[in-house]
Amino acid sequence: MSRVQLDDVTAKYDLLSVRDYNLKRRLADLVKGRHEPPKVIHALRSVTLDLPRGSRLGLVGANGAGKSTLLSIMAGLLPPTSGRVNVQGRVLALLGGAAAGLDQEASGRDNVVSMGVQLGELPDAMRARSDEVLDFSGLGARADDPVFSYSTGMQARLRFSILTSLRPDVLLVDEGIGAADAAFANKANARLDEFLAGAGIFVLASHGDALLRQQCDQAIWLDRGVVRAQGALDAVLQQYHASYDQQQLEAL
Amino acid sequence: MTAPTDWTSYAPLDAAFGRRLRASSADVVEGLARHKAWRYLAVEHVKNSYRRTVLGPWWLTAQTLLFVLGVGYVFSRLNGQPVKVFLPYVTVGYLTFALLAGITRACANVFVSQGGLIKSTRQPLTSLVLRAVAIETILFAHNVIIVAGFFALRLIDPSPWLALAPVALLVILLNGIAVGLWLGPLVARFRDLAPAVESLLSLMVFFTPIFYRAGIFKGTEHLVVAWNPYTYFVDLFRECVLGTTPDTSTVVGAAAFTLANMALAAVLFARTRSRLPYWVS
Repeated sequence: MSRVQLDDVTAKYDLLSVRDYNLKRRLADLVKGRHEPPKVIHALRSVTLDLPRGSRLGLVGANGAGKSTLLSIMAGLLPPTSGRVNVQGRVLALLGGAAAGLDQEASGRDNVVSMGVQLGELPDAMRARSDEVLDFSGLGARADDPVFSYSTGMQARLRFSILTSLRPDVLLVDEGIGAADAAFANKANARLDEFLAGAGIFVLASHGDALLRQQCDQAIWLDRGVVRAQGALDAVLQQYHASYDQQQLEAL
Repeated sequence: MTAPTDWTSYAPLDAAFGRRLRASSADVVEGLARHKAWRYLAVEHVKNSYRRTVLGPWWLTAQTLLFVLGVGYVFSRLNGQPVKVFLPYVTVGYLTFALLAGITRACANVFVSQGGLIKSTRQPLTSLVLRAVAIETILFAHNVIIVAGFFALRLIDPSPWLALAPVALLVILLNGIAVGLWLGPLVARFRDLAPAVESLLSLMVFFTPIFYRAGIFKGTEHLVVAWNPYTYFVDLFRECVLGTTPDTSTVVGAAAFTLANMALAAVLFARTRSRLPYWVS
């Protein structure tokens, strides 16, 4: 059973400057009576959504619109400032760039086990599964080399293979699966289809319309933390692009 | 609504202290429950660090052995004590201090150094602390071989107190976990604390009775070592290993600092846990 519910979720946080991270400076400021409050980033404003099983949601919006923050909150990686988050089922997220969460010094094979273990699997279970995961990743003879020697695409393939092998109920992806090559993209799509056929929930943040059309049927358009439009993918994309064109016209 | 006892739920930033405390306690419980995970990760980490060395783990032990032999000899002469008595005292004291300092250093940086992981891979934050403490414990275990050698050479005679040494070690580790839960978030928030911890640690070697006996300080002079929590934890473990009956002040001091440390951890971890992912990068 999978479901993602967000109720009136707001996320704002202090953008800490180098000065704010420095205790000595903070104390000095306190003594001098100088107080510059840090800049507040309002990443999400009162976002409410309910994704039933089988949802394939695309997130669109300009850079800094709050897409990644929304994914992180759904993934349980960031707490909201206020509001309620209810996620049922196992959530896995491909967030934070291709190499995020990989131990660069360790081999691909060791990373399969250590990443799985950090996500709640037992070491033995991951060891038993590692051949299958590495086989899917297509790393071949490179599987036992340290990850820092991999290309970005290889790292993305490894991470995708590990995470999807863990049978998530909710899969959150930021900007596709990265720099994977065409052959792997086909395999990855097949695995995604399998996942979607099992009525998982899929959320993809992307600037690529083709990718969104391929993998999603609904969408949310985020604009400076606010949900501007929500509904069928094509309709939302149309509105999003219309506003973009409008802005360009106004700029002229 | 996600149950508040579910470790996965970060309490919202506007949540009351009670809710935050429940969420952070659930994090600790889940972290402890995943002992297979952090034990595995700690062992892997140590193994990986040996991969590029020739002597592997033995290099560390050999290095420590040379150090304690040299320092033990010099300080036994300085203190006018027989080497046979003072060498084990210095060795066990120094190894215990090295464990405490190693844990403190690792725990101070535990969240700052794992920012990428915190933001990409969901796991109890406590797991990261437990892994760091486990790594330091494994390194300590390498050095324990030296102490075992002292027993074999009859430099130390086994006593019934030895049975309590694992308990003393457990007290040290418990304190290490607590330090990770309060100092880790503080360093993530105020980055200049990390170098401050580093310089404090290099001073602590002198304020902890390792190369001298605490007894040389009489009356109020005793404050030189009495303020320092390391004094009590080093004493506790060393007395158990060397077979001296632990001093009442040692036991009381260790217990008092442990309670204070755990209280600090409970309050600060509850207050900072939800903010931590926003502080690290």
